[in-house]
Amino acid sequence: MLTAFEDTAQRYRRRVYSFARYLLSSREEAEDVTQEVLLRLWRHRQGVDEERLGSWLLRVTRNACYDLLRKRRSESAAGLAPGFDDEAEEEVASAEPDPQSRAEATDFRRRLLVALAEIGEPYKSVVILREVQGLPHREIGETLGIPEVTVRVHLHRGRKRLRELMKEDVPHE
Amino acid sequence: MSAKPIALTVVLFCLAAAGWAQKPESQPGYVPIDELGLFPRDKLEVEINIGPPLLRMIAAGTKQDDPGFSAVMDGLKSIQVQVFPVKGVDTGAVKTKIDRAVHWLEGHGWQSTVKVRDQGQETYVYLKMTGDRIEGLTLLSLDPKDEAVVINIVGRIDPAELGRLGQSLHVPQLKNVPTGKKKPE
Amino acid sequence: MNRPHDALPCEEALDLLEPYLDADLPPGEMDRVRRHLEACSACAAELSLAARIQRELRALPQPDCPPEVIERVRRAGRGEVVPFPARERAPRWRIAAAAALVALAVGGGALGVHIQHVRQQQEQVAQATREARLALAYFGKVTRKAGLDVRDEVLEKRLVVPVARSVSRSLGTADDAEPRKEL
Repeated sequence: MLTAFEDTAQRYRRRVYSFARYLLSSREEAEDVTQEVLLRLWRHRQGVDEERLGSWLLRVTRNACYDLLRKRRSESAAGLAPGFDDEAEEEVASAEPDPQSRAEATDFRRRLLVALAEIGEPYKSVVILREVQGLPHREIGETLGIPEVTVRVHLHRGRKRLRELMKEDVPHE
Repeated sequence: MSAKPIALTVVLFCLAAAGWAQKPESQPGYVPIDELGLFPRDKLEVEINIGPPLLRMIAAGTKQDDPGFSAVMDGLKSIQVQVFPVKGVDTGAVKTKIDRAVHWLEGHGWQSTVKVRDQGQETYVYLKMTGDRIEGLTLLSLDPKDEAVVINIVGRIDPAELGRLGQSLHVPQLKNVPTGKKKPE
Repeated sequence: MNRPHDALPCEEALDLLEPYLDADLPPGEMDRVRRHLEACSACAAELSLAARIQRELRALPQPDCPPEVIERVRRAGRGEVVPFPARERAPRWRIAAAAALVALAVGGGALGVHIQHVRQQQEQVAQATREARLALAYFGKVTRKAGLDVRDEVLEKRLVVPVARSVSRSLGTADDAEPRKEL
């Protein structure tokens, strides 16, 4: 029994954890949520439809993240502000051939993440699940409990919102 | 007055030197006041240098408590300030440097908006325009009894709002001026 | 050939860029957008940005959680009581959170943000905020000293004008009693 569960946990841990990471922007909180979600899976393992396991896990993850965010909001007075880890400066987009392009690419990515943290729901979840995790629209719809057509609408609006927030990057001729 | 300069430059992100297409230096409203060499940097009383990422953070962090201030910060790409105490200093030399800066501005398409001279005090305000849009504001001033100041602000500027905010704030007494870590650019 | 009644205004085109990128529009709409983009460089530039954003999102890493998380779940599954690890529950400023997110994306799952480092960043932003206010305060100080109402001078009269007409004393202080001479 435990072995089967462990297999499941191993199969889905990355998806759960990375979703939580992007929603919460916090490594520690994402770890806590992942632990909580997988524990819940263990406790409810008899009742979960195996075919829908992936979307169930993501839905539980999302709910746990938003519970945490609500709790966090009531504790913290700070508005959203981007931050940057100096250590991460070393880990730049290594595909870029020269220092100038690398620095620019890193900065773009940094600002994109800030923008992603700023766009609200339901766009944020859809953008993460579709563009970052590569899930099909149908599965996203199951996860969020919305029709597939709505997933597409949210996806496009979310990316449009990102584009508006990144506006200074419109290339000039 | 303490002779020790209080450097307040904060540049949070260590970007690669020639890195970034949207860096303030590439903006029309930017003035390289360091390169103009107006004042000796080791003798500055105040030096402020804030770039776009930090300005966004400031805007976000003050949005709830001070939306007017936040809105001004949100539109800005760069703030540079240098304050040089001139008591006991040959103000003739400072005046020459300021005149040179004025010529630089005029040679680079800046429009003079204000020139005031009274009893040795001089104040200049220049704007960098693109069409009807103000992209940069530069203030130069010399008060021989006090200090020389240069301020360059780049970005989406509403001078009315800038003036209103600025005149509602007060420069604290020297001992209360916060010191900060100066990070290399 | 463009037919005037078919022309797409920019505002509408900008709304359709994302579905256009995903080829999620009916064929007629795809054509309309394409024709607009061929004729409008501003919207074409926005499309480049939209495409870049999509590329970057798709290139973001999917980090894996540390093995100790799974270990804790495993132990719980075996019936052991496994508390959540003690965290230093400092106020969770989102600046700290977003820093971790950026570390995630730029460095993969390997990088974390230490609480101490996060606190330094919080302090740095607070410091920068004070300095931004100081910058504005100097602006106010100098303009006030010069007897200027910046609103009048800068907004409405963008030329150097004689003092009698231009200098507004509305925000003057006590030491501004002396008349000013304008160049």
